[in-house]
Amino acid sequence: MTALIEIENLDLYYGDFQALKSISMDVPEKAVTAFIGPSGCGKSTLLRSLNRMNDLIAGTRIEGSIKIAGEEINTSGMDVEHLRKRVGMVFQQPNPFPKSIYENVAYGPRLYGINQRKKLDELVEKSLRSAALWDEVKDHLKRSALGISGGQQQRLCIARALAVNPDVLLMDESTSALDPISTLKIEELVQELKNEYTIVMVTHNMHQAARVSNQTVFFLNGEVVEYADTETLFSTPSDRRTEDYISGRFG
Amino acid sequence: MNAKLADRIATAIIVAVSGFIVLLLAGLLGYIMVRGLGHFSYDFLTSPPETIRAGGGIGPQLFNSIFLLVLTMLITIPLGLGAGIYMSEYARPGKFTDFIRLLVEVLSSFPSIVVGLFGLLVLVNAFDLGFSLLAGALALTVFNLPLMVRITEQGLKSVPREQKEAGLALGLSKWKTIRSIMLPVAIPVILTGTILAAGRVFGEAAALLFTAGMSSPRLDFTDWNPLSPFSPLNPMRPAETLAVHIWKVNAEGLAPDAAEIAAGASAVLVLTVLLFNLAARWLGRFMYRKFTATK
Repeated sequence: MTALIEIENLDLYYGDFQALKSISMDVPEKAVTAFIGPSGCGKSTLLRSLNRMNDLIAGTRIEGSIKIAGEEINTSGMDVEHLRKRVGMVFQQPNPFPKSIYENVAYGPRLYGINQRKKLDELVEKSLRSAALWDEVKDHLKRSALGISGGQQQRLCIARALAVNPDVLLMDESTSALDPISTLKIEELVQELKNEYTIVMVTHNMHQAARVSNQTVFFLNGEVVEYADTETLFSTPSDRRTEDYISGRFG
Repeated sequence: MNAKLADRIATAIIVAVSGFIVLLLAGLLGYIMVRGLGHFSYDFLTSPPETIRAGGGIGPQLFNSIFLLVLTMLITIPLGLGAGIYMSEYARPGKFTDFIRLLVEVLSSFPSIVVGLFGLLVLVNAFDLGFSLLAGALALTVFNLPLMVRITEQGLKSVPREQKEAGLALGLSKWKTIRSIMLPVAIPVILTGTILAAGRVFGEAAALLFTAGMSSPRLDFTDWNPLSPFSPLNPMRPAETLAVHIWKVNAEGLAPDAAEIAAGASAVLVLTVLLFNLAARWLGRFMYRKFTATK
């Protein structure tokens, strides 16, 4: 498997607090990589570094290198908007725009210059199908996105991210606010999506990581403790701390 | 005393206090309406006032009030929106920003008579605008602006952070996110606040005494060229508003029906402000539904 994202010696500080300590790892293309670890271990911080969402937090300082498809993203010259088009994100809380279902999905493409009605219609349908939502909403695309269930909203957010045709999809604990059935649907969806997209997910739920991901990274106190194939990491972890965490002794 | 009894007593007190306030407001409103409504007629609302004889109307004053409101809002809204957006989204939190916010607060608690005198010294005299609608509108801007800034700031702060992040994560620029994601969500709040601010402008008298003046030239309602001195649209002419007219008629009115005119004009003023408030609610709800596609 080729690496799409290469991270090298990444340090990240919030003011004086060092949240990430010399992280180095590769994220393989068209596979699911899961970040696990206790709260505050830095997994979300690393995820948000991949689309430079940490820029929003004042006092953040970042050192080291992140390359996506060979291109360094931690430079002042980086076109952050373009980066975020290529690296889509789905958040913990479903956050559809307060617009119609159709408008939510069409929003991104329209921004990037697709205005023909027919093309947009096609794109909306394709994205909603990819997000396994089309059959549930196709008859009321004009309704408010705020009126559908939380699980549907989250899949709508996935469709919205997919509509701009990203290479990478970041999922920041995207099922933690959902019920078990919606969670299952999204997990199934992720299995489908990994054929076309590189997916990086942060999860609190170790079982989810075990079920869904190809690679798992275990974080502790801002460091990568262990990084391996999901099967290997869960069956024969090489580090004692990983073993303690996955067997539920802490975290 | 047990908790249940305490709860009952507290409830009773709260109900009594709010009942008293409702009664007070209803009484006040009823009094103004009962006294004023009898004087209502098409003629009263459209004809010019009389100085000595009975039967004068409030036509020009009503027009002045509305026109001044439009002028003030034309100045206030862009400035207030701009400053509000800056304060909410661009200003870095810190001492300087807090200082600006403090200044805005101070500005909003200025006594309006002081604003009026400031207008007289600076706008009317130093800038040589004379007693004019423009001077009045600028003076009103001084104490409408803080309100507008605060409303905009609150409106934007009320937008869930998740939605802002959703916009940015989709690759929208900061400004685009503000304009097309945050402002539509904030607009009901901003609009409602703006109309309420407009209601305040409509009822303001003290700040206008020395800026827009206490007299109106004979207006020619067939001449709509804003440059002609008798045109109602000329922003450089003096203009007595409804609120100023009420004060003047009460203070020095010579017409035998001065009291009735003041009562009628007060009723018009109160009714208009009431309409503003209702319109604010309705429009806020309408916009919210329109922008969010909710039923």
